[in-house]
Amino acid sequence: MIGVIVWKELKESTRDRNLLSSIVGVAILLMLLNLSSRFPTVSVEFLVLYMAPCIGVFIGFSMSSRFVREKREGTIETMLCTPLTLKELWLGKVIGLALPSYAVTLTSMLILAYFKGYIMKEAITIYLTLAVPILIASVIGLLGFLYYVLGMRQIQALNYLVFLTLFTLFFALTRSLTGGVITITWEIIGAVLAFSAMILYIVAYLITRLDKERIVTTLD
Amino acid sequence: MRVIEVENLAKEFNGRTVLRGITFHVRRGEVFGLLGPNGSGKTTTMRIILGLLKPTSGKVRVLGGSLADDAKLRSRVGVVLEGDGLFTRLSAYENLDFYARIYGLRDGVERRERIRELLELVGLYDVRNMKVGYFSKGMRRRLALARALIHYPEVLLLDEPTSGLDPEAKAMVRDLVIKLSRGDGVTVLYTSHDLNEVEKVCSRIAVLVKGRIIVQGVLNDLLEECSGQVMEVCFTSSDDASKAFEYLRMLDYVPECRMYGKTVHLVTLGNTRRLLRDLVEMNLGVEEVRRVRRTLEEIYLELVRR
Repeated sequence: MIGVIVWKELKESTRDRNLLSSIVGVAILLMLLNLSSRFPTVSVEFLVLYMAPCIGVFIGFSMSSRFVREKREGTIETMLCTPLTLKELWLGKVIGLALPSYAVTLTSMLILAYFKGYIMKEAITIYLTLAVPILIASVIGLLGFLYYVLGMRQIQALNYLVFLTLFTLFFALTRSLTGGVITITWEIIGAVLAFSAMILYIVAYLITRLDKERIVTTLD
Repeated sequence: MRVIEVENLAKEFNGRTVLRGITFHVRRGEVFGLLGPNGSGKTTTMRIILGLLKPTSGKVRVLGGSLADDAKLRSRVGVVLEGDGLFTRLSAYENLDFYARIYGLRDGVERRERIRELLELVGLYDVRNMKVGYFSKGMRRRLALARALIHYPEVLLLDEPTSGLDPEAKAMVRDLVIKLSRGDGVTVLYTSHDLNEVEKVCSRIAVLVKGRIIVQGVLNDLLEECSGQVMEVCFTSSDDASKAFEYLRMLDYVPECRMYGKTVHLVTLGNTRRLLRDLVEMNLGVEEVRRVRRTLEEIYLELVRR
């Protein structure tokens, strides 16, 4: 069942304008980082450590609007009448939205490393292939859960809040790209993994406790 | 056999009662119409039956169990709700394919065949590869009906299935529902604002007003019962009609009487034979006397306005 939802989400992603505009945005950002004389000495590890989660989470956030659209159009109500459980529905969507978000993030980081002539070390590879996707999935999962629980006006307020936070974070990061040397340690990887896994676990538990009535009564 | 059983159902939202004492049942192969004005509680009743809302009190059973807790039971039920339940970025074919897989139609050949059959049935086969986002409301509604039928459901819950459809498509849906219930024994719970349609499709109905069922039963019996003794008497001349009208107005067992040219419409509370005998004895030229059956719309409006 989850596989069917993942497949549907991936199919929808190929036609999603949000994903397309995110890819264009990331491409422009990468071009700026490579070409601008302001950031000549920024290390790839620094970029991967901070920029990869930022890019992934930002794309995940823009794609998670699909949770909202299904609620606004009432599609979720029909889905809840199928043999699917709410947890299967949520998990399928999280995986289906996290995969393309992560694919764009990974590709952009690999392109960046290639142009900077950087050879991936063990820790950075683990960080990029394990910690980052789980972090992206946990953020999408949390947002999805909140979208299920909140009413439409509250969702709008939440979206403004998330967008402003991400934008400020992004802005602060690009301002601080002055060439600091940083290395990705196992402690950092462990902390990111533990944090993301904890969020995912808690939200997955909350989803099993979530009442369908809560979703249905916040549709209008 | 009772397929849908609703017993003394009540629902409150934040202390406000929206449903109370709702009791009805739907038998196998029957089309049961739930009528009522906007805000009467039709959709809330439907949502409770589907397990999307919890009742404050009362019981609901579909196919002997609760759709809220039983995923297997849900796979035997098809629904068309207010939202069409379609994904606008996917094509008509992809939408049906998705739902077919969700409902467990694993065999690829069977799935493709079923999708083709349903798309042809609702007249959307030629646009099967078009994204649903480009569909008109009527096309979406037809596709939603095909979606609801994809897994050969035993029970169908249809909330305004024909809203936004043109007369031809409405007739198609109507014929399909009748065929499914009579031919395949599918049990249907049907809500609609189109009373003409309900009259053609449903065998039994319940009228819901302000969260309460004010009348329910076999449609024909209700029409008969609520029509009372409405009669139409045609006279040979308008003079005779006005004489009869003056006479009829005075009778205490004729509470309502109207004259249109040579015709008099009246409601009698019994004594029909005596009334006809009196009219003949007055030497009035009675050309034709017939009982008038009121339409569902007339009865519905009277009930709702009460």
